[in-house]
Amino acid sequence: MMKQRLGVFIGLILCIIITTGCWDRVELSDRAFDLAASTDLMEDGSYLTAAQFIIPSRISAGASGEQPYFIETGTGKTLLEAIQKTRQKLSRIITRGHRRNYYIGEDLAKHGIGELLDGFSRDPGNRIRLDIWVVKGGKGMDALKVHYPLEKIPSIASVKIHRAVGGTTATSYLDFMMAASSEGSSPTLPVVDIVQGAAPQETIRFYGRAIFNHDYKLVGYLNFVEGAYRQWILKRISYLDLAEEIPEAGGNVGVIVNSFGSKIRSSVSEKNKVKMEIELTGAGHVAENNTNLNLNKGKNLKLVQNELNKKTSEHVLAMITKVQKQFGTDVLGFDQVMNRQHPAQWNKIKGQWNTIFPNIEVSVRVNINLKYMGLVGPPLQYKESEIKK
Amino acid sequence: MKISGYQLFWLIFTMEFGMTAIFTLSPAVFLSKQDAWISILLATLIALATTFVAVKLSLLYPEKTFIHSSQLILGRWLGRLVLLPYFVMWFSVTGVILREFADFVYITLFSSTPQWSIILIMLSAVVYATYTGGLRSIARSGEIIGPVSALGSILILVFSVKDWDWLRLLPVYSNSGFLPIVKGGMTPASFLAESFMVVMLVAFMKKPQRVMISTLSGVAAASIAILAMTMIVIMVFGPELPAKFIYPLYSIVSYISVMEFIQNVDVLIVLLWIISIFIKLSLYMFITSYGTAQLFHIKKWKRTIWWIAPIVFVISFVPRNTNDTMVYAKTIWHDWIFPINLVAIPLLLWVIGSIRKKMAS
Repeated sequence: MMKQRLGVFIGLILCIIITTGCWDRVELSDRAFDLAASTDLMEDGSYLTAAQFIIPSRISAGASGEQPYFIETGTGKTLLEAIQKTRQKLSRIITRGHRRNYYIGEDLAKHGIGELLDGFSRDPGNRIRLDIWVVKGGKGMDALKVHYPLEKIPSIASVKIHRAVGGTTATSYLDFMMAASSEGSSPTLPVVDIVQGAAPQETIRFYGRAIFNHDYKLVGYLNFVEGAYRQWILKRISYLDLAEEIPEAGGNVGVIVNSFGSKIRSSVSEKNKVKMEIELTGAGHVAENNTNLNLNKGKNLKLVQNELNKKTSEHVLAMITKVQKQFGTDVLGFDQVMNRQHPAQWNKIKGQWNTIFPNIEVSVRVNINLKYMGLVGPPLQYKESEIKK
Repeated sequence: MKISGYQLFWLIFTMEFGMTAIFTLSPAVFLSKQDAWISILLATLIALATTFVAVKLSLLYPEKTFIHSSQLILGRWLGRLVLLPYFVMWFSVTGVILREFADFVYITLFSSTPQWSIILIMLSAVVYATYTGGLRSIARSGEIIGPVSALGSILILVFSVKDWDWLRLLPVYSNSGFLPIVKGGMTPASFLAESFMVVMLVAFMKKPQRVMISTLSGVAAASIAILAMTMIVIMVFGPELPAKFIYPLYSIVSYISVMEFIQNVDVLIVLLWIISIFIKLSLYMFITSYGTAQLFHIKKWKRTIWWIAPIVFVISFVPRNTNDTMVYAKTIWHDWIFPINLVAIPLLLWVIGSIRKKMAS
């Protein structure tokens, strides 16, 4: 018995020796944290990758005016080769656990991004919770270089802007892959562009949505509002400002919508003529009233609401028509709707979806319910006689 | 070495859940797309049926292990002959599971730690548990580890709620069809049917009449957990992507982000997997060594561990890469071991055994 105890005791002591470390130990001081990266197409067809790394010693509070990050680049005919070139300049091992953003230059997006995508999900060192951005009219690396005053690490800005304007963050890589691997859908990515800010330096701006075709090539852009309408149809939006003119009252009314719903009813005729009835619902409050209407009166509110719904419906329809006629790629999830609602017919027509999609007859009905008028009824500056009751 | 019904429940649950959830979701979704959950339901029914047969078979002679009962049913020589495929299965699967464990750890955690050391550490833990207390210490570990792995699967469920999209489960049936759904259920069924090992465990039950309820509820609980994981995988990744991931559940967990705060929790799934593997390997190690000892009339069964462990260690180096271990799971296990060892022979033995018992009485 004693002998056995002793054996166990020695065994346990030996365990301590084994568990103190392992072959894969990499200390924090041997890691370079990659927060954002970019890829661009060079003129000779090779890739240029760049990555933004944190400089830990400069990140702590109030450190001098020096930037707490630096950018390192590499080129190669594949991403991994380009990263290898980057590693040749790095004293630490790249760690991507915190990478949230990946920027792709417009040239590369037009050329096609099929070759880049695999590594993001194959290598376990990469995160699939990732936003891939297209940099409109620029290079991916430009987005890394932009200095952003509010955030210590500039690449954080795109994530935060994306969230602040009511988008869904960190899902764009996975959404891209899901759309690309499904039968009818075409993938999309969010877009930033670099614009002149108020200060002399440039700043980064959330632009909208990039539309890709089945070969992962960029075919066009939706601007911010168009992109938001699309997100509304797909129920992936949490905030939207709408301002529309009310001709009967000779002014504009601005509305903040913050709860969203979307319903699509599809039908398909004998001749494979597809119809989509889209009903978008929303609830919100009036944020701006530049008319002389007293919105506390039911009649006036109804007028504003109807006009708002009518105008928005037209805009959404215009966006859909643009996608159908100009791009001809299904980025609105219509294929999924068909698959769900008419599975039998879908199996027959899915092969011809590319030709059917541009000719779908779409009707849009927006139904925003204005629940709150804000803190005032009529605008305060108007005299009693000027207010329309 | 007596175990209770409660312990048996956790043993079955733990050893079924980890391997099945990690390995079989990808082939199931590959075949039956968003209807993979129906495949899992089907697999559950198949597994419950094979488990029922296995328990019935072992209850014919509740004090005897499979090694003896097969000889009682088929006679001395035929009974021994029929054991041959089982020993092939026990040795090979123990080695392959060890290797699958090392591969998974390599991919997810340690890429510069040599493979032999990962395998050796697990093997020594398994040998330690089996050697010191036999089935009793394994059962006690199961009592602790089982609830942990159940809790882990609940955590995965809770953490991923906000990424669920129920619409991705639609349309039901029309994108797959009858045959793909049935075929998709076979791989999970072949893994769940491993509860057959109960034929070696019944002899150690304190109350053999509790075996049926404990085993079936263990299989059912594991199936429910796997069903939940399947639905999560489809609701987060859609009907196409899970088939392309090798370990879709691992990818789901690494995708988790709760309020930007709980992130990079992939270690959770690695932990669940490792503890489940530990229980499974220990059970197989116990069964193989005890069975070998009984077959060759070796008095001290524990001694057999000392030469079984090295054999298993060597077998774990046979596959050249992860594709080879997949081939084992997809062809050898799925096409041969599952239909022969886990379905046909038990059924045959049960029928013959019942007839012989009836005729005797």
